[in-house]
Amino acid sequence: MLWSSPRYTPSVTLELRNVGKSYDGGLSFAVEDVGFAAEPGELVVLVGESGCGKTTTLKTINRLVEPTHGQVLIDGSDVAEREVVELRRSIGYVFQGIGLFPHLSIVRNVGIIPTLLGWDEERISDRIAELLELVHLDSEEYGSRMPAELSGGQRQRVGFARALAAGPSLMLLDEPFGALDPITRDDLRTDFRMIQRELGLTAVLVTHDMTEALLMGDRIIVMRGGRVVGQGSPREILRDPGHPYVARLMESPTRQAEQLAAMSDDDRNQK
Amino acid sequence: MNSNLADRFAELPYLLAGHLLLSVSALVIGIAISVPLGIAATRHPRLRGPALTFAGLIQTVPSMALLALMVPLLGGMIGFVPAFIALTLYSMLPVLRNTVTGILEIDPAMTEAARGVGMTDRQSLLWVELPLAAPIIIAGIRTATVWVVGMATLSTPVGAPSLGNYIFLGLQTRNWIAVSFGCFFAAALAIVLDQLIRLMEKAARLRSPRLAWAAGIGLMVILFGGLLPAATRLVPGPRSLEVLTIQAEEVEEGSQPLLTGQNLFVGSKGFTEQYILAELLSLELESAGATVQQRPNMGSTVLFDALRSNTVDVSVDYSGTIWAAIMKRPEPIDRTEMLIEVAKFLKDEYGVISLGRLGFENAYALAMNRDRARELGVQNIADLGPFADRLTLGGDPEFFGRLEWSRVREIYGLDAMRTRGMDSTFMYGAVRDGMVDVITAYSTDGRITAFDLFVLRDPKQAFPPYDAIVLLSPRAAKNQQLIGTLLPLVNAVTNDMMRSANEMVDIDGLSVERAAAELQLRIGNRNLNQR
Repeated sequence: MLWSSPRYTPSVTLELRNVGKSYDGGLSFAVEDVGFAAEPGELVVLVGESGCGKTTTLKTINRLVEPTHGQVLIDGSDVAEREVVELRRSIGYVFQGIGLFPHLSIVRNVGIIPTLLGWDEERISDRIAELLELVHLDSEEYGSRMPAELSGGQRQRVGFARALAAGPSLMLLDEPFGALDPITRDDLRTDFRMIQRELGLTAVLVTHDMTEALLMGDRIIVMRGGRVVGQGSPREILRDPGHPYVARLMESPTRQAEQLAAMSDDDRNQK
Repeated sequence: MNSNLADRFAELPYLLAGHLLLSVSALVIGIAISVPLGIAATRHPRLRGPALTFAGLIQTVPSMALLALMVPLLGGMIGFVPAFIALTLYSMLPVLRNTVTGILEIDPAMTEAARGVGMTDRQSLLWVELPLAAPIIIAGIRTATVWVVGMATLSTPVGAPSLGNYIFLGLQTRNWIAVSFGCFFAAALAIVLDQLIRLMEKAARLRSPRLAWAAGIGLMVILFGGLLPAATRLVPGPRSLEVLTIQAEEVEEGSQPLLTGQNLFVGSKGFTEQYILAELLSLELESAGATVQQRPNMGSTVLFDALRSNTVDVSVDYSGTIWAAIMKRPEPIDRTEMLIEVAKFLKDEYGVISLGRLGFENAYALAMNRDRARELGVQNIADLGPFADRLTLGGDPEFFGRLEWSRVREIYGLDAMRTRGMDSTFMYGAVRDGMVDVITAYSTDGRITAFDLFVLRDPKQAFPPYDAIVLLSPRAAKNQQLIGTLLPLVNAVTNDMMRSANEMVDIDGLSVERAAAELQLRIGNRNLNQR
């Protein structure tokens, strides 16, 4: 079985301590004093409106953004002390808007990190076949196609496969379901959650959709204006939003749930 | 007309090869410089401004001037090298600009994705940025290709053979077939190269090995097909005596032509008489067994520089031109004395040998429309003085930069006269039709009589004598066989013979080759009669 494969390094812990990022030498902060922790195998969701600093926070983890202060620790060791290229290759990254290379075939996109790591040809092609199967894509049918020839959902599956290619112990996902239709989105969420649980991957997912955060996260971090304004498990947040902003974010999913419940009640009453 | 076309076709392999070699090597080197420079400019923003400004500035220099400037910058060198460098510089802007734009305009999400999956800067460049920017970079290369192939036609005056030879020759000798011929083949070459590059880009984009092969084979066919037939002429063969002696031994004594196995270069300036004389010299040298290449269409000083640096072996110049343009002596002296002084100067200063006069003089002479001269009551140059501010003088641009003109202007008080530079081939028609009042005619030009122009006398002898003389480069001066071959031309061409040869081309529309062959025949007859 794939997920028992020794290629996967054991799950890791992730911790952000007082992470801050300023682009103007400290006058203002895009992200300020952000701190949270993830246990091995946990899926942490960063949720907030666009511009709240959630993506910037995510990028400090694989150093696409270098924090102005604070620390990011993976299994207790500071990422700032690791060689940046090696660090990024050890972390799976699923990009906002998918981020597949349009000039490379599906097979080459998925195989890019193993190729960068210098694996031999055979190991790479075995790995690609394995991964495409894992994300439910027929490698015979899709392997040689170009990204533009795939649907949005299929492309995102390729994006997951690429991020998983080198057997990372940590995954970062930047709005991975944003541009998909609802049915595809549900399928992908379910598939991803299953894979992530089976592999015991520690993961950080960024979204602006509170419903998504509640449905997927083991732990939810709510951000606003570059700061964390609330965090906890979905149950804890449902029970007690704490911060008024968190409560406001909760309004939409709550209202939707109530409306849906009301409709099914109506339905029942009519019968 | 048919023989004219046949003559043109005969030169085609050689000129096409020269054109192709020049354009393709300039493009290859231009791309090899511009793409890395463009990449560096995207990595180092401080380099970007200066690099693009430099390439842009080169583009603002008129292409003809850029070519011309290379000659003095390279210490008087003519031929392939100055043309190659000018074209290389010229090809840089589109490639550089498109490389920079192509890379900078890649979606930042793509470069971030490249970094995010753990690519080094180099990997990001090679695997992501260059492939994504390729269509724009290739569009730049295609622009450069069309520019360079077009501009290569202008390399004729700096002595690099190209399809431009047809255009310049045609312009000077009013041979519009030759002009069209040059245009057609230059355009065809540009289109074919452009389309082949487009095909290669398409092959890369579609990852189609079949298209890539087709483009590759097409390019090879063009390159080898274009270069091979003329390869022996473009790369001068060995000039060593060894080859000569070996060949001499193989052939019976006496029947061996004098110059077999030698590659010789004949240079000329850009007007009909010079073309005919260059052709005449070539005919003589070829009949002695030499392989001759012409370097036509050079300005006087460019040609002289080429001669003294052995880039050209033989040329015809004029005593007064050397006197004024090379020796910078303003005051003319007696004709014979001048010939002696010129010969002595050339030998002492540069090791250039004057073989002697050809026998005719082609002087600068001011000429007017006969009716116009009568109307103003003008007999000689001095009579122009009172009307100077109302008159326009047409002439070749070279003349207005020469000492002779400043001297004439000063002696006859013509400062107020307006000047209008034009190609010498057009000035005779221009003065006949009243577009200019006076021209700086060449006294051997057949159009003076044909258009019934009135030549003004020069009572104060402001113009020096312009005896045509055959000049040999320092290397050719040591070549006894060559001297022996050309010696029969000394004092063999009279004013009449030269004028009628010029007429054949300028008025009767015959080809330069015909006129030269005719002139050679007349020289032969005359020499026979004299014996």
